[in-house]
Amino acid sequence: MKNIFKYIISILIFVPIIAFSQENTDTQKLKEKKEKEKFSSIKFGYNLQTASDLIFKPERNSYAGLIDVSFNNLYSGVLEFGISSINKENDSYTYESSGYYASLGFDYNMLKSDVNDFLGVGLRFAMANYDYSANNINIEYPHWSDYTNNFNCNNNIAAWTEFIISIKAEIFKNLYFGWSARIKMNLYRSEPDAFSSYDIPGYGKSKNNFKLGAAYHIYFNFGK
Amino acid sequence: MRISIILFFISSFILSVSCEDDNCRTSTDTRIKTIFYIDDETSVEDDVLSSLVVYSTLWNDSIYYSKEGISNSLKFQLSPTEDISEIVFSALGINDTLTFYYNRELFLISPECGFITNYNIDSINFTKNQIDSIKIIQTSVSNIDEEHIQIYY
Repeated sequence: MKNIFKYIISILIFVPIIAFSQENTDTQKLKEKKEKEKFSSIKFGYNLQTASDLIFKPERNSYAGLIDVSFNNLYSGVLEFGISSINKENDSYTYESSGYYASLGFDYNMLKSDVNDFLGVGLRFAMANYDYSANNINIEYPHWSDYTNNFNCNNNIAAWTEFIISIKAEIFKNLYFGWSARIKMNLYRSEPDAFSSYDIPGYGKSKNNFKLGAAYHIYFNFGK
Repeated sequence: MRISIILFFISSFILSVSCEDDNCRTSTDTRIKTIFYIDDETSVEDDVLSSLVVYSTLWNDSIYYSKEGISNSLKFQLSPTEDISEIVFSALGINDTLTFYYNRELFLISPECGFITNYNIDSINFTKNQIDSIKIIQTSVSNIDEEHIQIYY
């Protein structure tokens, strides 16, 4: 009985002390964490593929960029945006489309010890708004009469997610070059069944609900 | 080190750009592949197939199994302008009319390839003058290689 009483007294004395010391440790950890979550840099990126499209795909006119705000060289909040238009004319149709997109997400740097380079993974949620049309369509069929039609599909919306694996390296002071592989998964598309678009701004060929892609960016660092 | 990084990124970018293929390698032909099964004891398989003609009242010509048929199969196209097609199958001088009900979807495959019309078959009604039954194997018609329906005589 005496031993039990000693044991209870010990618990009553030591538990608050342990709890108090634990509280102090937690506060200290929180303080340290807050100190750690420091702004590292802000980078503006330009998608080089849109520049190559101007040369190699004359029917396409697109521009895309991004803003990357990094904290503690570990996490980055990333906003990507772009505009795109296509104008293709040939004997059997004239196809036109125009629109814009934006995506918001984050990157996680697996090389946190290296302040100049980046190897990491990321996630994005993206949306696009676009118009497309096909006029003077004339398709010849072997048995049926020729198909002629015009389509105008305006104010379409598409949404998708992207899982990203990317690398970037500082090639000159405050100038970075980066490459990213992207797995895109379509979530929503408001196109009519009768006529689907060829390309969704930011997503690419619209007939695929799941697609792989890549992007090349040049970055300018305006942060620390 | 920086030179090698620059070279790596530039070469991977050039490789990516050069890998983009602008040539059309995709067929825009979408036809129903039909397989014929002759179970009727009174009919000889070769006679039925050799006499088989497929046509529509909206066509100017016909498809002859003797010319275009391969291994008990024949391919034909549904109307690209309507959601219903009536196709007549004539064998040994006896006609059966198949009425296809479907949805169409027009795709621009690429600026190089142009458009393709895909079909999704809802149902098929048919007369039973000579045909015994029809089985839909694949409702989606988006190429010319897959087997879509089976017709039993």
